Parts: sequence; structure tokens; C-alpha cells
Amino acid sequence: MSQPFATPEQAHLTLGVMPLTDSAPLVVAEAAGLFAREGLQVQLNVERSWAAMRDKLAAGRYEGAALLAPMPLAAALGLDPVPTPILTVAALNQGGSGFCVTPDLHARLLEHGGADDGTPLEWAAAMRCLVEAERGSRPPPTLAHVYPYSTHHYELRYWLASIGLNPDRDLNLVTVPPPLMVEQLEKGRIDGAWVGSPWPALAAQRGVARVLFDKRRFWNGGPEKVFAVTAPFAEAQPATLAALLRALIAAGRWLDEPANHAQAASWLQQSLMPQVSAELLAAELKTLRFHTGLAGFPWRSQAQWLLGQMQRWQHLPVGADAQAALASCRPDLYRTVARTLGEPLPLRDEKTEGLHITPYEVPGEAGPVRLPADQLLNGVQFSAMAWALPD
Amino acid sequence: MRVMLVDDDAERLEMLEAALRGVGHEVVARRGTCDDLLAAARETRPEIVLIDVDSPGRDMLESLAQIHRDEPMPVALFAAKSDVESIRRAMRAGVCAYVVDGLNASRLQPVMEVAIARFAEHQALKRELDDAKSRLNDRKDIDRAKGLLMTRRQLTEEQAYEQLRKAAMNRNLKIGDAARAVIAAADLL
Repeated sequence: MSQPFATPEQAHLTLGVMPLTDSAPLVVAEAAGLFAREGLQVQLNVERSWAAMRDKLAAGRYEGAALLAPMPLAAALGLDPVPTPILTVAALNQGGSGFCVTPDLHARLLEHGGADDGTPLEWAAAMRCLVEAERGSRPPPTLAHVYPYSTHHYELRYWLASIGLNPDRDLNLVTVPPPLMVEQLEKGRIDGAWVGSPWPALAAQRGVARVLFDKRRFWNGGPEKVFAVTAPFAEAQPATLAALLRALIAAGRWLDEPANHAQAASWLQQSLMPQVSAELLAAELKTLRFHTGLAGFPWRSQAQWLLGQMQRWQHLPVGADAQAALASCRPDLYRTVARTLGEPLPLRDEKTEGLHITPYEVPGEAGPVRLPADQLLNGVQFSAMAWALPD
Repeated sequence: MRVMLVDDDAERLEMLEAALRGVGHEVVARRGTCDDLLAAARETRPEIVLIDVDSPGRDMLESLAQIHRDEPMPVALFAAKSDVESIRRAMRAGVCAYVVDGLNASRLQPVMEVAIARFAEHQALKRELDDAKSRLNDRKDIDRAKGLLMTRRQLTEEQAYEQLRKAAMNRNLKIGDAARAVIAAADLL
């Protein structure tokens, strides 16, 4: 293939990934030779903790990493102190997480009005009934998320608060990284987990948990994992960054073809998760979107939504400059590269989040772009202002 | 010092414990990554946790000092590989402290002290921020929030104040905190 693009400043790169289905674009780009086609020789390092991922990216051990969407924001705000600014340069996927509970908690939720085909909001109502009924007679359920600054943590809080539960008082929230989640459920140390694919499905397969709902039913199109690099890297190596992004965009497009899921699942299993069957991973891949509906575009409005949640729960430091933290989200860098590939791009970096019941269109650089429905939790909407000032 | 050790390498755990004992520390808990780390920390109340740099247990224990307010404790990280040196240098600003080749007592001691000092600094900063929060000029913030509401919702000053007062009551907040929530929300929009 001819190479019309600038040669990468650096050919040998190391990228950090977690054992998760949404690492698929990186795994595929490596295994299918998409990085190589861009002149990159990439080694993927598998991490088992988000703290180690954060430190190694910030320290320059990794040129890039798959991160939880709020991590670059937390770094910019000084909540998660790292010495080097971290930038979100692309989204990796939509979908790919879910909420599961132990069979015991599942049975108790059924006793309190839960139903197996229930919506996330109906399950929240059952959780509230359960918490109120059990108050005083047993300790509140312990629910796990994967990291303090994770979409999972803020979505879990959003879900609980939607029905009037106070996550800091009515439940016991703990942090458990994805690879430990199934075992913690099995040993009964946690009663539920909001965690990335394939872990809820694996827990269900092993009979240690029941999946109540996945991300598509909670917030189709909401933020998930992002691809991040350090600011000095982005500045010093624009051609390397562009080559990485071109490979990831190609991988995303390839992954959205159901015919490729068996191959992708087998690569995921080999490189990240030998303990998970390829069949399960192939089924899980069908619950994610990697490319269609602008799944790779790093929307500033999603970073804003996350900042709004951090503010809601008083996780923002006093005097924090939210606008400055937003600067860690760099749709401009993504646009520059995606444009050279003729990818559809929105006109604006923001869109209305979480309100669309049906597929809709946003104005694009080359005509309207169609996006999937993105209703958040049955339309129960949070706005920072509405919370600050309830009617 | 009361130390909790977390590592999946039994041999290394043994060596670490011996090294710590040798310089007079007490190892109150020795755990693998898959043990119930939170329960162990709760039960044994260590003054510091020493954990393998690549252990997924880090996320569980470090988060205690990040968001969860109860029972935070300093965490120091060790690794037998010297490639951790680059991370250690880079992470000077962080909450944690890294030990390189952390298997002998002479190297462990200073890093544990650094971890504890950093942790104390971090907690003090958090407390200071909390104090600063309450010391902030309530009147100034209430006025600003009232102004925002008057412009955005076309309210009189009395109506704006009444909305703030109600919001504070509903959420069991001081009115100054309710005003700051409005200001922060407006900044995001």
C-alpha cells in the first residue's frame, strides 16, 4: 500500500491495555497488522490495575493506553496526581459494561419488586425497596465499581440516585479492578458489580452472578473507554499519533462487521483473557460499537457530563477549574486525522447527551451524520443545574 | 510500624517480612492479591501497606485514600525489577511512593517514610480544602448565585434567595454550599 502520510517519528511503541472487550481495537490493530501498515511496531502490555496503567502512561513507559473516560479529567484536576498531562485523543467504543449481582442479592431484589425483564430504573426501584426493608437488620449491599474516576462509578451513582438512594449512606461502594471482579463475587465479598465486558457475562456463565442490564440499556451511546496519550507525546510526535489513530479507526471499522467477531474474539482470548472462552467474547463483541455512529469521536459533551457528575458528588476540588480540565479532551486532534481518511465528522464537539429515544442526526462537516438513540436511564435526566437547584 | 504486605509471590513475601522484622517493624497482615484486602486492612489497621506495583489490589487499597473517606492509609509500592526506576522518578508528585528492588531493609525504610509523609501531606491538603470550603466567603457566593438566578431565570432578588434557601433545605446543605453548587453548575454550562 502506498504511504501518503508522514512517516511516524517513532516506530517502536508500547501501549497499555486491560483485559476487557473494549481493548479490542488495540488488539485487532496489532494482530491484523493495521499498526504495521502504518509503519508502527507495537507491543501491547496487559495491565491488571488502573493505577499502574495511569502511572506507566504518565511516566512515559507507555506511548498510549486505553483508559477510563474520566481518568484524563481526574489527572487534569489534580485528583489523581500525575506529573504529565494526559490527553483523550479518541474514544475506543460505546457499550461494553454492565451491572450484575450475586444470585443472593438477585433473589432479594425479586422479593422487593424486581423482575427479570425489568428496566434499569425498575431495578433501581427494587434496590431502594430492598435497602429500606433491610435497614437495621443486615448491612447494606456492597457494590463494586472499577475505579474512583470511572464511568462505571458515576453511572452506578447516577442509577442509585435516580431513585433517591444516597450512594454514600445507603450502600457500601468499593473499588475492585476488572480482573478480580468475578472472584470477589464468587467469594461473596461484594454483592454486585458495575464492570466492563466480558466480566459480567463470565460471572453469569460461572453462576456467581446475574446480569441485570448492560450499558446499552442504561445509556446507549454513553462514554466508555478512551485512547489516551501524554501531552508531550502528542506535541513531539504528531505523525506517530496520526498513524496510531488511523490504525485504531481502521480496527474499529473492521470490528463493527459481525463476520469478523469470531476472529477478533480469538485474538482477544489469546492476548488478554485466556480464561474466557472465544465463544463468550464473540457474543460480547456484538454488544459494543466501535466505529458506526461516531463511536470513535471523543465528544467534549461527554467529558462535560462526567465533570458534572464529579461536581454533583463533590469530587471536584475546591476552586477546580472545570474548563481547564475539559482541555484534556482533544476532539481537534481526532478530527485532523479522521478528516484525512474521509471519515464522517460532526460540526460541533458537543451534542445533547442522553435524551434521544430514537436514532437522530447531527450536522456534520460533509452533511448530516446519523447517530443511534442515546437515551440515558429511561430519560431520567441529570443536569448539574437541576441538581444544584431542585424545584 | 504496623505493616500490611500484599504480594502473590510467596517467597518474596517471606523475604520482605524478614527484612521488615529485622529493622523492628511488625507485619500485621500478609496477603495475596486474591485475599480479602479490604477486610484485612479493616481488621489489622496497618500504618502502611506495601504492595507489589503490578498487583490489581492497588486499585482497591489506593481508592481508600482517593474518594472513600473512611480508613485511608498510606500505600508504598515495590517491585523487584529495576525498570520501575523511571516510574519512581516520574511519580514524585504522586500520592504513592515507589520502592525499587525493594527487598532489602535499607531501601525499604526511607521509601516507607516518604510514603507516609506524602500521605500525611495529601490528607492535610484534603482537610485544608474542606476547611477552606467552609471558610469561603458565603456572602459573596450567595450574591453571585442570586445574580446568576436572577439573570437566567428572570427572578427578583427575593425569589432567587428563596430558591437557594429551599435548595439548601431540601439537600440539607448550608446556604453557602447551595450557592456554590449553583455557581459550579453554571460554570459547566
